[in-house]
Amino acid sequence: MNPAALVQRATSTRVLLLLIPIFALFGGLAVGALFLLIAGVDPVDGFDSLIENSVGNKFAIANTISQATPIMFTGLAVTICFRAGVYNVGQEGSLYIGALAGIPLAIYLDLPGPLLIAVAFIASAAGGALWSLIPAIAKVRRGTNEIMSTLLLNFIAIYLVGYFVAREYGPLWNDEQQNAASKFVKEDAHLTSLIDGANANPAILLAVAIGLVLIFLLNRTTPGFQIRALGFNPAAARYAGHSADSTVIWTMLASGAVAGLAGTAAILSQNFLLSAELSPPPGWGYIGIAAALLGGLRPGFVILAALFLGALTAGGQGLQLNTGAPSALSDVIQATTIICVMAGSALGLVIKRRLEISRALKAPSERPATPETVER
Amino acid sequence: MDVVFSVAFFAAVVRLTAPIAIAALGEVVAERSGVFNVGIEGMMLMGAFGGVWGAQIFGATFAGVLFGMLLALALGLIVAVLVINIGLDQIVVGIVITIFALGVTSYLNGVVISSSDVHDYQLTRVAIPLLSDIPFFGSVLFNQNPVVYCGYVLMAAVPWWLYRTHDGLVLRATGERSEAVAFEGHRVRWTRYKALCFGALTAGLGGTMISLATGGIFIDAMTAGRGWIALIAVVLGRWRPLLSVGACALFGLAGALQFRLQANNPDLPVELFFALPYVVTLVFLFSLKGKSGEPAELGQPYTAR
Repeated sequence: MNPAALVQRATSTRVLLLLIPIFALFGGLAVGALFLLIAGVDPVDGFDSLIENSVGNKFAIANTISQATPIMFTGLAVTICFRAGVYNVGQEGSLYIGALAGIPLAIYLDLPGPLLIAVAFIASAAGGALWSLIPAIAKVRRGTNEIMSTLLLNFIAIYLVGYFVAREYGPLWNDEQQNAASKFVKEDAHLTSLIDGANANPAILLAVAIGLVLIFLLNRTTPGFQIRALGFNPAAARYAGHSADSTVIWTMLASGAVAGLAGTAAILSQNFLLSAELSPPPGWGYIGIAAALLGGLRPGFVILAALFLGALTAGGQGLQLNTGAPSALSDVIQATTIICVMAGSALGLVIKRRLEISRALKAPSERPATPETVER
Repeated sequence: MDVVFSVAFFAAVVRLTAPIAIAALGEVVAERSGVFNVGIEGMMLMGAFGGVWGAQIFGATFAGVLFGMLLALALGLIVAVLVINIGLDQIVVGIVITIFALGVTSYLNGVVISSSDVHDYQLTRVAIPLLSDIPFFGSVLFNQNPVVYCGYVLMAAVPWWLYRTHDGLVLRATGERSEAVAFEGHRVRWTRYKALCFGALTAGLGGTMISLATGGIFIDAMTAGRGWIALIAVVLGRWRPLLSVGACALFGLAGALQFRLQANNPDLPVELFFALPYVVTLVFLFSLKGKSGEPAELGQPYTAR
């Protein structure tokens, strides 16, 4: 095979698309190794610890699944909106309000287990959706930039939940103990899935199901088409008769609803109470944005990205215990990986286009024989 | 009521407004050139972290301020390459770079910051000799830390440069019609680079005040969204430097009120007061109708060769 053909093969779109995420991963990990060195930790030990604590044994895998669950919910929530070109970054706020709406029901209502869980989830989705309704209406009615309104509402939501569980005066505060937290949810509402003693959050199945529904919705339904059209070319979408306003509103509502489930899902499986520190820094909402970006805004890949980020988070927790390097390393690796993926994809496209142009400008003797050239 | 509106109160307003206003002034310049610097929150955070770290490394608060600005600039350069050279989506890059900054500062906080000489390096107030003797305004405005004074200089320099110099005109045109600017022979990408770097430096400067002027320690995510507030202030201020500073002052005023009202109403929940500045900003944000003043090419990558 001649060199030209080899290069052509090597740079075909599929090969590039496969290589880029792999290089991106290496980019992220290389930076991680660098930071480990700064902390005086042997990178090999560091990565050993990361792998051991994320997939090394059944407890690690269960922890990975549990960490990935809220990220999967928020990641899918981000995907719905970002696909429509709506930069809703209010998933953090929606998950707080969703938990505020759903968990008290799981604490105080007297219902059989599965029904109680279902009621809590439905209330959470409703709460999260309502919280997103505010910026949605503002965007549609007054053209308010949704990035700014949702960011502000995130902070307000956190303080709102903080109020409800505050010591002494919080309506939900558990007066039998000192922390700013609520009472425990009813035993019946516990979402535990014990596989050989390890607790993996079964709500991840719900998240995956939502992801599958989203794949179907985006690719095979009219509303999904409207979402994609709005995201791809808003002017053309309007010309085609789609109502941008209604698409904006219900993508934000859907996004808020899905994000609202994240906090409740985590609580019902892990700590069983509502506290002021619901979402560990940097916040599941923001990590969800990372997951959506890593997944290229495609629900299937977002699910995988959430699992990857969950593994990083779980690994990071163990990293601090084993080596002393702060668990925030996982956040550094996350962000660097995304940057590498994005930069890599963009550069890949540039390289591809340059190669196509150079191929099209090749000398006539190398072109396949056509009636014109033969005649000459 | 007199107790509330005292010299100490307004001095606090200035102190709370300054970091955000400094960052906002830089953001105005960046956005006027067409770059939507959403990473400003991350850059402020790097400034806050670098301030403490640099002060410890070099043994001087002043060095800390410079180091903080340098770290913020480093972040700005990364954003610049991704956004101006590669042409990635500015909003997405800004969010990711902020997550990155959150992770890096949190990580390094546990690793390189020595906990022994914490609190040693702080920005202290320096009264300007004659000016601080002016009744009321002197004590409020001219008895602040040096970074605030830098802010005053920026408040004069940025509007003057933007509206009264040729380079400022070129920069504003770059954000409105980059094609026309390129036709005249100016380099669009280089202008945006400079604008973004200026935005990063000011964000870093404002950030150093957040850590060094409040105890000299760094706490994870201590900017608490103030970078986003600066971003919003630019919108509220219609992309005009002094109006944007005014919008920052709204937030600063609400912040100062928060402490006063809290002290006067101990029976009200403290979360109400924490949320107050954000609620006030949100109300003003909602009150805007339309997007007058937004640079026409804000957020769009420059694609011509």
